[in-house]
Amino acid sequence: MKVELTDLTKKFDDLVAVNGISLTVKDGEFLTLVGPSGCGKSTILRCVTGLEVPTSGRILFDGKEVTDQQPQERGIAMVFQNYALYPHMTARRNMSFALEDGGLSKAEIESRISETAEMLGIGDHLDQTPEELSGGQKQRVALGRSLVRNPDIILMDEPLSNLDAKLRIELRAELQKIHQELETTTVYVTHDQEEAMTMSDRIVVLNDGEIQQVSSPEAAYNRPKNRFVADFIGSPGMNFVPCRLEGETIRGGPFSFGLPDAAEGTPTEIGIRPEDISLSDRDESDGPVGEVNVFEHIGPYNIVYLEVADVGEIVAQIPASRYFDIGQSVSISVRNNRIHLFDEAGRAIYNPPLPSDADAERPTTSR
Amino acid sequence: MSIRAYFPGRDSDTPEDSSDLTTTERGLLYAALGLVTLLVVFPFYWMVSTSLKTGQEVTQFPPTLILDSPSLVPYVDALANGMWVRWFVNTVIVSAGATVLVVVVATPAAYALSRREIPGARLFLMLFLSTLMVPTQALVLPLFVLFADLGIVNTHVGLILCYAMLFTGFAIFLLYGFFNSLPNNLEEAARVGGIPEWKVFLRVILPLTKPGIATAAIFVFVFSWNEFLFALVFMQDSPMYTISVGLATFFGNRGSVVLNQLMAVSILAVIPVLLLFAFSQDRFIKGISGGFDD
Amino acid sequence: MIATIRDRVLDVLTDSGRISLKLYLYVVPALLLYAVFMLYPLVELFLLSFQEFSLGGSNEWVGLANYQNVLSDPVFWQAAQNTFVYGVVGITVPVVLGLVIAAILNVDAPGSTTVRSIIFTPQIVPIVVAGILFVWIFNNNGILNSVLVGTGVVDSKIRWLSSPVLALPVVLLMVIWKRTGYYMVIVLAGLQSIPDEVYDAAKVQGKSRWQTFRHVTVPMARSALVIVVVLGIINAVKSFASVFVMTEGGPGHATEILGTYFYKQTFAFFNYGEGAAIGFIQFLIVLVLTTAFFYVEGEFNVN
Repeated sequence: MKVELTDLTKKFDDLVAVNGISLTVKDGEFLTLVGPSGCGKSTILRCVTGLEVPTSGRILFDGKEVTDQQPQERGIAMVFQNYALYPHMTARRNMSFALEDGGLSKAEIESRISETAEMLGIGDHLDQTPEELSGGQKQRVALGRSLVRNPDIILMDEPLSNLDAKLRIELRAELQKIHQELETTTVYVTHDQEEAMTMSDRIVVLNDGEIQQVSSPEAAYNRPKNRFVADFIGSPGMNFVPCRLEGETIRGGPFSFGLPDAAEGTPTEIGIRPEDISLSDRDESDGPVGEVNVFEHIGPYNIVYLEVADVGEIVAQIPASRYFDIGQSVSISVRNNRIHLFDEAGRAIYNPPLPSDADAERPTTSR
Repeated sequence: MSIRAYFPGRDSDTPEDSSDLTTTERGLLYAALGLVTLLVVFPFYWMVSTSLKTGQEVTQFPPTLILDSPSLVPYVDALANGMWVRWFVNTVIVSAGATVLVVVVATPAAYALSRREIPGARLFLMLFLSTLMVPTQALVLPLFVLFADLGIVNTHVGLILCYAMLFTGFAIFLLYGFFNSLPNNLEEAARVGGIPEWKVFLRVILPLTKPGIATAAIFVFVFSWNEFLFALVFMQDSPMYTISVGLATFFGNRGSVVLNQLMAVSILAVIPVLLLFAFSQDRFIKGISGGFDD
Repeated sequence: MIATIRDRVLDVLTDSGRISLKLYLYVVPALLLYAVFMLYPLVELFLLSFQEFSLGGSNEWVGLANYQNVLSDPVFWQAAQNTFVYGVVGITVPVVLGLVIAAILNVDAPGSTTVRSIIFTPQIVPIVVAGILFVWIFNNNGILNSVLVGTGVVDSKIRWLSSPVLALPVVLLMVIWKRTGYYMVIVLAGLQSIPDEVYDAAKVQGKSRWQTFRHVTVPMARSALVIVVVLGIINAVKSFASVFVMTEGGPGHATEILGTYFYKQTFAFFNYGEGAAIGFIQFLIVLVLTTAFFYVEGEFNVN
């Protein structure tokens, strides 16, 4: 089912939670709304469900207007962060409750439940009550409760946030599998950019009630439209270095790069992703240097926090095999001069092409 | 600011505080407590002891503190007297009826005001709370006139309606607090789950409300059982009296011969509510202190 | 089948607009109850107070005559004064006693829960029973006199309830006996449910418990007491049974309170018009006090 939001606005007294959002959710896609707390993502979701009524704007399901409809009438299903299971009913009843009075035969209801329970791995727990279940099981039951209704769309409000890290990753993969199998339109809300990146067909980055970018996860990562998206997506976050343009050269602290032709404006900030930084023992050249403050062994790679003169802290991600001591002085270089450029207004005026792109227009390092 | 800070005493979680008190201090406090308890209990004792006396012993002066020959005759006499029994039955009917009516009316109201954001909810709540402030006595007169016109003076129904008016506000207040303590997105889950509103209330929320309803019911029952003025005014004929009215009328005649019987009946009148209290102490106390934080 | 019809009917009632009108239905029974059984009678009361009611059925409008009669009746003023005393004493004493007992009980001792229940029990006893009981105890030939005379504290039996001076205090004693447990429970709950940080902090600063009690608790209690007194007076205006059962307002009018005065005028003397006036005056008093209460309450929160 396709969902269209047109100029959606939601105000709570004077607070504008959602500011004129327009968005289309394609039929069958997995769309994630992501952003920091208070960005409006949950509010948008709740408007789609009907739990909140928009101040202005329209919501259409497959072209039909549902803006003022009660949640019960929308044919939706929702999974909550805190599961919201009916405490006094067994898992089975939680799942069957909505199907009663629906015209389905008992047998049909039973079969749907066992099928769904099978898919979610909770078949053995159907006769337990929520308080007897673990967090992961509860969320699976909550999911089952939604799926059993064959809804046109599933909405999820930070469903994994209450689970511990390992469980989160496990369920993330399961959700993806389920989506591939069922192909139900899914709108997912999270503040965790990693979740958004790994699960979605498209992500919508939000801040302060406004859309910052709607694109594939890959595009959001490699071609952020503005500083906010560049900062929000990716962990550890992008490094930002204030800079100024001198002729055709961009200078920021100890860094200097040639202005790429493709840049559309005057850069005031350089953005460098930690994994695009390479470090080496201090050499005789007068390139940028930094002092190692913190060294983190993550496992598959290492994170280095550097103190760079005139710039402050720079974070680098280096291969697991490289080591540096605290306090050591290192030379910093940017791989393939992969820098992002942002103007005064925060707009991205240049994103480096991916290595696969044939005729790469890359900035050159000038001395 | 914690109210605790202002009282010498201790938090029951920190046992080491009890060493703060010297033995003398402890002794004094216990003695004081003992005295208070004695003063509270004595009237009860006196009531029981009088109810077990017979003949001259009942009214002799000085009265005997310890009984010569306790006997259950006053109780037997009382129960044999159809009047007392009749009055008990009236009281039960009226109290139970009021309880049912109040619960049926107050629970949905408290639910709607507490858990659903209806515009004007706050106003309604204020309105219902304000009913607790009205000097309900004053309403006896116009209600009497109204009920006389409707022909329901001197009926169980009439008194039940009065009690519903008297106690619904309190029940709403009590249940409101209780509803607030339930997890707050159960309705949301049900609504997005396609459950119609009435089912959300009846099948999802109501089953979880049992403790709250039980508390409200107990309070209303006890209030109704003990109520006097309205019962006095609205039950005009002797057979319709509630136990409180019966006792007061009898006592008004000051027939000292039946004092022991009077005390016996009083004890019997107290027992039901006492039992109710004994079985639901926690509820009662919780309800009063307004704490439903789960 | 029936389920779907039911659903349909109920859904028709739904305003598919912004709010589900159905939800208002939940509040309607309660609203109706109060509209019919409280609002309407209140209005009737008001109207009635300007009439002279005769049981024959014909009423005349007499303007403020009823109010004049009531306000010029010395018994009314006696009742008003007694009500005030009843209200103040009948609340402050139980509250203070309740506080003290709660403080003592909080010093955990074995059986404190039992003691708590015992002290609370008078609260649930029917007021009529309590009244009768106390009358019997304070009877001329009752146990109290017996003990006092027997131990030589007094020479002869005290006529408690026939004394214009002693009658009201005796009634108040019954009320105190009955109510103290209630306030004790409230305070105790407050004491036991709040964590100890501030108390510990005071301890760390070297304050003794009694110092804290005297210099912080008492001043704060004083302002809380004002609110409690207001509530007490409101409660006293609504009182009736306690006095009625014990003394019927006597001797003379020594224990007359507004409640008994109202009852007698209305149901003993059948002065319905004046009764209505008294009733409405009671309503006004409570209204004024309640507004004052909310006004003060807005300034700080106690409990």
